[in-house]
Amino acid sequence: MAVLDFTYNMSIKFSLPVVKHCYTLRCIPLECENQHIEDIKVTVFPENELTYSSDGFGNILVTDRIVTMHNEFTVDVSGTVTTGAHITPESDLNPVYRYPTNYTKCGAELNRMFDRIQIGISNDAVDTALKFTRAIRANIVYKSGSTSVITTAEEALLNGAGVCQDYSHILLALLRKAGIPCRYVVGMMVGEGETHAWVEVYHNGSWHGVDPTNNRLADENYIIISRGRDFADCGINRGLLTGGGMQTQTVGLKVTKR
Amino acid sequence: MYGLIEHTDEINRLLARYGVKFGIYKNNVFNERLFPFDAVPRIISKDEFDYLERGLKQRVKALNIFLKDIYTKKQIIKDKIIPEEFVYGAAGYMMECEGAVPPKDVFAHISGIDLVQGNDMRWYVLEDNLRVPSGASYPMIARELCRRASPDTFRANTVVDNRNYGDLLRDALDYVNTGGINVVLTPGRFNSAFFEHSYLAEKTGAVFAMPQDLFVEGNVLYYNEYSGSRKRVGAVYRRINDDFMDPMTFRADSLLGVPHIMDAYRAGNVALVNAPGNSVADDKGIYYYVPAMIKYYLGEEPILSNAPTYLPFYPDDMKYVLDNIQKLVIKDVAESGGYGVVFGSELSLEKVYELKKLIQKEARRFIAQEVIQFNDLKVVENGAWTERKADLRAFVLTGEEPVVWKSGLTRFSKDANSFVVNSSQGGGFKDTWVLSR
Amino acid sequence: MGVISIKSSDNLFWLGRYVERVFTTLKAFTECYDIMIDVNDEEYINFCRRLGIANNYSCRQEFISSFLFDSNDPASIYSSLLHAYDNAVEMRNVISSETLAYLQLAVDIMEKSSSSNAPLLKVQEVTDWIFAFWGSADDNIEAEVSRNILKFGRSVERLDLYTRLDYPVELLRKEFSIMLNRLYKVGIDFNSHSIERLSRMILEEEDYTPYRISIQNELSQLFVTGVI
Repeated sequence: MAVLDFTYNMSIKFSLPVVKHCYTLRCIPLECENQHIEDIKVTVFPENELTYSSDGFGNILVTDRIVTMHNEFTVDVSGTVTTGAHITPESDLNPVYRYPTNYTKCGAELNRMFDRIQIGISNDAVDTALKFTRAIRANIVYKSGSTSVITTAEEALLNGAGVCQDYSHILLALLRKAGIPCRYVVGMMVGEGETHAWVEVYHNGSWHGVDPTNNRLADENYIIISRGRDFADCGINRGLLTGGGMQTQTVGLKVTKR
Repeated sequence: MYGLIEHTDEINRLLARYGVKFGIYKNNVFNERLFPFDAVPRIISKDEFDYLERGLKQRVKALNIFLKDIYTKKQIIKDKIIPEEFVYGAAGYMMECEGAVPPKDVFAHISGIDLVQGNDMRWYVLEDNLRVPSGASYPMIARELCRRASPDTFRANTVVDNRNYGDLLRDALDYVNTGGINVVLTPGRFNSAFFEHSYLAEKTGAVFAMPQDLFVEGNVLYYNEYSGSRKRVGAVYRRINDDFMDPMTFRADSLLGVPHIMDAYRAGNVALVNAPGNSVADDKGIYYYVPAMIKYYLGEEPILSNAPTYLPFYPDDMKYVLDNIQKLVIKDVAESGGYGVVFGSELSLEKVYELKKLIQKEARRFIAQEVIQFNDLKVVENGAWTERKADLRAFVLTGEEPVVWKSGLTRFSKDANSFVVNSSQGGGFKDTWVLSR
Repeated sequence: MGVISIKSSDNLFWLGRYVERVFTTLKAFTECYDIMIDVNDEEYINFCRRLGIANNYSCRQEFISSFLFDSNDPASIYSSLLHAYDNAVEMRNVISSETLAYLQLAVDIMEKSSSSNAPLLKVQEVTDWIFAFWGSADDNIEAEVSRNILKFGRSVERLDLYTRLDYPVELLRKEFSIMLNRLYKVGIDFNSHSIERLSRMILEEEDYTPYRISIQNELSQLFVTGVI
């Protein structure tokens, strides 16, 4: 068990005024087994009454429609979360997590990789995920800026380099090929910098957090924000703008352990 | 009836006068075409329609339960009636709709069930359209004009009036309305069924809206009024596909959608007619399982039959399909509107070989059906009687209970040998008479 | 149903304007056509100048066929009719299928008449259908506000064309007071400053012709909609 304090802020500056702006944010940590929200504060500028909603994955959405002109959009989220081991029981598994998505489809390269490592897939899905993780780390290196938000698992593997999103997508692709249900997680880790992404593997009636980028199980140092089939389901900020011109985005994140 | 047929040209002129058209894109140019009308009606006797009615109600009832099950408990999957990949591994299932139960549990408010009659006079269901089935407006306005053209025909025959479709639709909207106005939402002028959208808005008395007229605030959908005030919307008969409906949830590049409308829907604050996510039941793979679904959910024997269908997914069926491919029709499950349909008999040996390879490689992607020997319908062409293949789209409207519209859209093929009766592929339509005695 | 959106109000307004444009320019065209028979071959040059449209026509014959029937000529009567139809077709549920049908009939006539050697005999039917359109609109448009916006569009267009075509001031005043009555009845957002200035120029000045351009400008700013 741990108590984590976090602050997250995102700011987008626009080169031209925005006249209409609809947004959907997935920026609030989830309440689930072994993760409890003790305190939470969300501030969005331009200020307005926030609307809460949810999606098909059970994530919390903050939505709004701004019709006042603005040149800047900021989101500040801060709070305190009690965390523990990343094991979330779920008896009613949605089979959708067993099937590949656009980001996690296996092409020739992933198929080859899968064929090389599949011998010895154990009955323990978490073990298998860790085994796949080691194989991934032997095939790609971490390099920030080496891929983009539209890079698929197959492309990242061909590229030989990637970030947490790519490590996670490749792991999801391999696990699904092995018939193991798994999902994408966006969240935060103790430290400073940006949000993080990892994977949850379904085993024995529970979801287990596995972080392929850091080659470890997710633990009390991790806070879950949202889950989905892949990156596309977990966008932190999805917006629809009229006007705005060029955008400059800055993100700040700090998570400390008490 | 001859009194009616001799006025065919005048009726077609009147249809033009009322702008009864459908649009098609050819080489990226939008053109509106008249939908040729043949005045010889398809006639369905009372007994025959009673049978169809029972079968259609049963089918739509089961499909509605199926949709709710798929997006909530998934019992039919757990009980292994349908293999999970046909639902959760298919494009029709929409995770965005998981857990969302529409007002009053109605998913398929308007179902368009396509049937054909074989030359053994048996009816077969060919397709279930539970997304945005179109076409009811055509027989509805045609009937109005036929009655003007030949009143004696309708005095002599006991034909059930079909001009109540607007009322049935309004009842279906009112039943699920969450408090607010009814709206017909069209993507705009350049949609193939724009005539129908505007005509149904007129006939239901609903407000006719384009996407920019609507907005969501606080998970509630509003209509932006000219006076500057807003009107709450309780039900949207939307003629926009799921993919384009909400750029915040689905395709971000959609300019036709209403941002956050899915949030309003998930919050239970508005009824979307039909419900998003119905594509999972439209899937040609799921079609195979509808009879099993009826037994499973309703504990009844299916009244209507499917066309004999094979799923290469099952080894026995795969063998049959590969051995008999030249007498079967092969359909790509991902396509609709008459596309992706191949008749084995029309293929060269080389193409047969390619298709077999493809089916073996992507078994889940195809279904195969026996070619049904249609009971051809009579049409008058340039003053002479001839015959055409035709299908029937029956409309089932679901409020508290499913109601079958006592008519339907009968479409016929462009030339005598063509099996394809989709309006986007040429061809014309007929009125469908249901007799009251 | 009394609910209409900003976009619908715009459609109605422009529907009124375009139908009127077809109607009144057709009337003016008929006069010009007559003069061109045996008085002045080039009367169309004056006609274009008065209406304020570019004279891109090389001769009398070209003017007649193009100004009436050419959908690629933005000034043509057929173009105006198609614009009217485009606005109407989106408003079927408000104006009714019956009313829309009269515009459809007018469009069909224009399509069929272009090859006629007596076009004026044909286009007479267009005028007939427009009268039917207005009768049907009066009868079938349930909401008063919708009816008013439609007719407001007609008045604005009529006043604009009257000033261009040098109609007598009495006619202008008559149409203006019809419009005023309608404006103060229900539900139309209008620019009250423009109304004041228009009243001065049309009702108080003896001769409106020196103010022609100002009147046209004020008219174009009269209707307030949210549509840009």
